[in-house]
Amino acid sequence: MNIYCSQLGMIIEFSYCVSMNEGLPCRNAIRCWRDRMDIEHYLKEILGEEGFHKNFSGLPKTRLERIIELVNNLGEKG
Amino acid sequence: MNRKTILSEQDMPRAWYNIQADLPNPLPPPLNPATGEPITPDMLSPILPMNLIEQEVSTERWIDIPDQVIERLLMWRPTPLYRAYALEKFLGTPAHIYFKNEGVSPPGSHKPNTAIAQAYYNKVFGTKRLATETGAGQWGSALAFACNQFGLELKVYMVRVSFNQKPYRRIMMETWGGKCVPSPSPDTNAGRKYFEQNAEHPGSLGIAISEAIEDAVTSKDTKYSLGSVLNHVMLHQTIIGLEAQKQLAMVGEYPDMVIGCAGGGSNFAGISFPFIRDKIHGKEIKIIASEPTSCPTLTKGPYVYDFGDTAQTTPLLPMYSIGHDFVPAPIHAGGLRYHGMAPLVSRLLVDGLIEARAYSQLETFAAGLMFARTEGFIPAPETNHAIACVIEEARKAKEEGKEKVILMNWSGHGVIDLSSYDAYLSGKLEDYALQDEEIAKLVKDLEKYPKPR
Ligand SMILES: Cc1ncc(COP(=O)(O)O)c(C=O)c1O
Repeated sequence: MNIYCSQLGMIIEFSYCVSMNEGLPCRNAIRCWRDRMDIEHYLKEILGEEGFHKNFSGLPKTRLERIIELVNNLGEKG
Repeated sequence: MNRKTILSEQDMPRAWYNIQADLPNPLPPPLNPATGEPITPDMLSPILPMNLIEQEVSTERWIDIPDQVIERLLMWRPTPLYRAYALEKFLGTPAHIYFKNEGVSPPGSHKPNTAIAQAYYNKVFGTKRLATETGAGQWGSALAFACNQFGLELKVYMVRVSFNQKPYRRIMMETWGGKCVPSPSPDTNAGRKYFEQNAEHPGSLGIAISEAIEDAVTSKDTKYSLGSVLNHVMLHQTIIGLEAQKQLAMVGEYPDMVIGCAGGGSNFAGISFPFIRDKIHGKEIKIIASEPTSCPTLTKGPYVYDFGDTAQTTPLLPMYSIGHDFVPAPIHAGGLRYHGMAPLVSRLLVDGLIEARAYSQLETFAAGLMFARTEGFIPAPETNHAIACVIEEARKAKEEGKEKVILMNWSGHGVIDLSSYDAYLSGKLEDYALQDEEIAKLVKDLEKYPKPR
């Protein structure tokens, strides 16, 4: 089962979408697959309610926030 | 009948347009996630040269394009403005459809407009080497071309799935002398922890960003470079819209609407910002950003799960925090959470100066095919989102019997993305809803993957 991933600019398999993030689903997985299956139900089944919540709750960091966080962490290290 | 309008080299714009000078509401400063304090320019100095940081925060309306940048841009600019007569005829629309062909650059997209500028500013700042990440490979190849022009070294961390399955972008980077490695790589701490677990780890854009930033911060004379999202990237792209304004004037037209696809927002910003300036000054013009339904950052806002109350006792509610016609609550407005979208583009949406539409992947490929079979050029899959929107508007113009003038940014060609067309043409890409038994089969297939923690 394939989808065109706009982040990677290529056709990818469903299995990538649900495991690419250190074994956890991509933050976009629900949006991307929502029209094709009951993705929320499926993810809740494999992640459990708590795991599902952990993965999808909260607002995603913006690109700039992410970059600054990385720079800060590297700065602290050395 | 002029099929294309060509601007002379002398008439190529000599300054970029900075929309920050004309914003009705100034852009709120981004916040440092660690402290909640505004991000100050010095926080970016480990990864960006000071001259680009100055552009990032500048509110000067016009910023001169340096001669050495002009010289390189002239390799393919000014880009032609096409009238899409064949597409108009096919649709039977009274609309006049114009497209700005940014696919004529050496790497085949709009990306080198900023890559050239960024390589130049790094060069004069004293940077010797750049590091970046790439997902699809367009940005990596554009930067490889630009670094070669200015004699800078380049290292690109390319998400491994893409590196393995799309060799042509990597080969382009190497042809221009850039170094491209699959991410996660063993070359950084951020990559090594995944690489050592699994040397064939498929990677993700997140890991590749971490690797590139670490490289930039920890290597000598090295900076980081980003192909979208940041204000200075939007600035460098405005040459597209500035040229288009001159070209449309040459044929005596002014657009009723301007359409661009929006991923990180840079090509959309490029074509639209000069026209948004006109809109701010009273022109009636519709500006539309077109994006995939699968990732509707602008049309739906971040789709997040959140507790219904702060005590976190209610069940989880799916919620769109920012909708098409919904002005976000102040808690979200401070730092709009469009994680992949340029803050400037997000701001314009909130201010009602632009609108957003979303199209499904099948609609966009159908649009791309129609374009290729009328106008000839094969569009990049991203560009197909803009084309889908143009077709929708051209059909509406037909129903209304109105001679609308539509301007679209044709952000790049798809000759290196033919495998996606292949998937579409052979019916492998579908939007259809899955049946229960197919889902059951999928669940079974997935048992071989490690269970998420
Ligand atoms: C041809 C083309 N168009 C559009 C995009 C989307 O990026 P942006 O929204 O920053 O223009 C890309 C990104 O890789 C691209 O290669």
